[in-house]
Formats: sequence, C-alpha cells, structure tokens
Amino acid sequence: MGVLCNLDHEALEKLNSHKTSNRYLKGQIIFYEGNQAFGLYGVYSGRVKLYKTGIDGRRQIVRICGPGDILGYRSLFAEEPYHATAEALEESTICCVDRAAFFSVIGENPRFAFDLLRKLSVELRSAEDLATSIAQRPVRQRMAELLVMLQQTYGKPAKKGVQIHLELSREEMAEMIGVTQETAIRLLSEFKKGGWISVQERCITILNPESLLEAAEIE
Amino acid sequence: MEKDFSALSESQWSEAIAQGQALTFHRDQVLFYEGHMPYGVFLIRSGRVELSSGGKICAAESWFAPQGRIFGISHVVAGSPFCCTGVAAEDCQVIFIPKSRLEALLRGDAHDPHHVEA
Repeated sequence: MGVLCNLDHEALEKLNSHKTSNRYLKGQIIFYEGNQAFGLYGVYSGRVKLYKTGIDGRRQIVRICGPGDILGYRSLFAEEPYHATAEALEESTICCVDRAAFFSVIGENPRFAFDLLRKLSVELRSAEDLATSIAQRPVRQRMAELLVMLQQTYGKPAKKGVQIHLELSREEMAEMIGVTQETAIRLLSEFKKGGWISVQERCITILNPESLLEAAEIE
Repeated sequence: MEKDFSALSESQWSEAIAQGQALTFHRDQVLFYEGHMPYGVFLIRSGRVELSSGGKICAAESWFAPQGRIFGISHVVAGSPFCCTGVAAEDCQVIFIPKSRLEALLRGDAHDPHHVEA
C-alpha cells in the first residue's frame, strides 16, 4: 500500500497487529475536521474525499484518496486536529492503525520516515498548486484542468474517448475547484457543446483531450 | 488476552480518561457506525447521542464508568462490531479512549503509548 510497500515483514506485522479494518459505505465519515487524530488511516479499496468546510458552510475538496493512500498522518505528526473531513466517495475498506504503533514503526524504520516526508512534500506542493489555481486561474481553466487530472488518474479507454472511472456529483466537482455548483454545471455544459466531453448522469467521457489541455493551459 | 474492563478501578478509569482524547461531535455527526469494529470507546461528557439500528431508534447497551456513560466497551471486550449507529443529537463533548490504552491499563501499564516525546 503506497509508502507501506517498502516496510519489512516485521514492521508490517507490527502495524497489522494494531490495525482495525472497517468497510465504509458511500457518504460515511471516517473522521471529522477539528477532531484530534488518534490513528493513521489507510485506504485498502474504494475512494475517499478529504474536504474542508468554510465558515459559510461551503466545502472545498482538498484531495481524493484511493487504494494505497494514507490519511491523517500530517495531523499525527503535527499533533494537531484533523484539518479536513474524510468521507467515503464510494464503498471503501479503510484500516486504522494505532498511533503508538505508527510512531514506533517510524522510529525503527528511517526509510519509512523518509518516504512519509517525501509524500508530505508532494502533498504540500499539490496544496500550494490548488491554492494558486483557485486564487489566480479563471474558472474555465480550473474545470479543464480538473478534467485533465481526472482523465490522467481515473481514465480508462472507452469505445469513444476516455471514460473517467470516478463518480463525482456536480457539487463535488465544484468543491474540487472552488466554484459554485451552478458554475460547474455551466462549464461542463460548455465543454459538452464543444464536443470535448460527453456526460451521462455522473459518468464523464473525455472526447477531445487536446482541447481540454489547451483550455487548461497547463505547462 | 482476556479483556475485562469492569476490573478497571475508578482511578484507572480516571487515568484512561486523562490520557484519552477530547473530541467534539456536532449535531448530526456520527460517532460510530453499526457494523464497524470499534477503534476504542467513547465516554460521553455532555450532549445526547442517538442510537439507531437498521434506521430505527434502538436502546443499545451502554456501560457506565464512574465518570459517565460509555459506548463501545462491550464490543471492544467481545471483539464484535457495533450493533448500532451513534449520532450526536446535539453538540457532544466526548472522550475517546483508544482500545490499546485500555488494554495497556489492564496489563497494568500506566505509560501512555500515545504520548510521543518531542
């Protein structure tokens, strides 16, 4: 599982003996923003969205996690409350490893600590990119960029184009790029009219990735 | 290890609570889900928790420590999943005590395994 792949048998055994696994249904909450972190969560299967809620109640999705990803470790390191709420986007199997076992394994495995540091750095860069994007990029670019990212991460070749194998509501897409739901619907409708995507309920297929890439203005 | 949390003394409970984590669950937030294996137990310090099973309100067993009502202990003892879902009916102040902490106390280990030296 991601950074856990490089752990030796003994360390994995230790984590396993302190692990509790649960199956979360779509919409069930794994942890809430603001609560103290007591363990490390790992996604074994399914998808989880991490979102922050603003004072006006608006949500901003900060990350989508899939199999192999770990959640909550930043809060454990920082001894801070969870900075976001984790919610199952689809039926997911999640395991929770006791905080003490997690720190013990880190102490005994410098390589694991280094891998976590690398993961933290990558996530920090992504967070900075997202903040910059929301602050500076027009909404059309942001939606195009999101679709390109979804295509690259969850895309699978279909009869026509590349189908995104991640069901997101319009509201969730809006929450990922910091726009209102109405704006997200309008933008998707524009892209659909242009023949760049096809939309069937929550299923999106990318038909013209070149145009999307151009609209996203990604370097 | 055979777990018998009723054997914990009042002072052991106080110790466990002191080392537990204070959590706030706002109205409608879920403390635990029916069918899930517990990560620990929840001691309710204030607020009401509504329990439901299969969408119906249920009166699940709870256990009273000297410091208040506790949810999850029978499932931690038995290693069984929660028999109901617990939702905050109003803002609740809760102390969460991880399973490992309770087990450590039963072993007579007063050291908090969750405390990490900076």
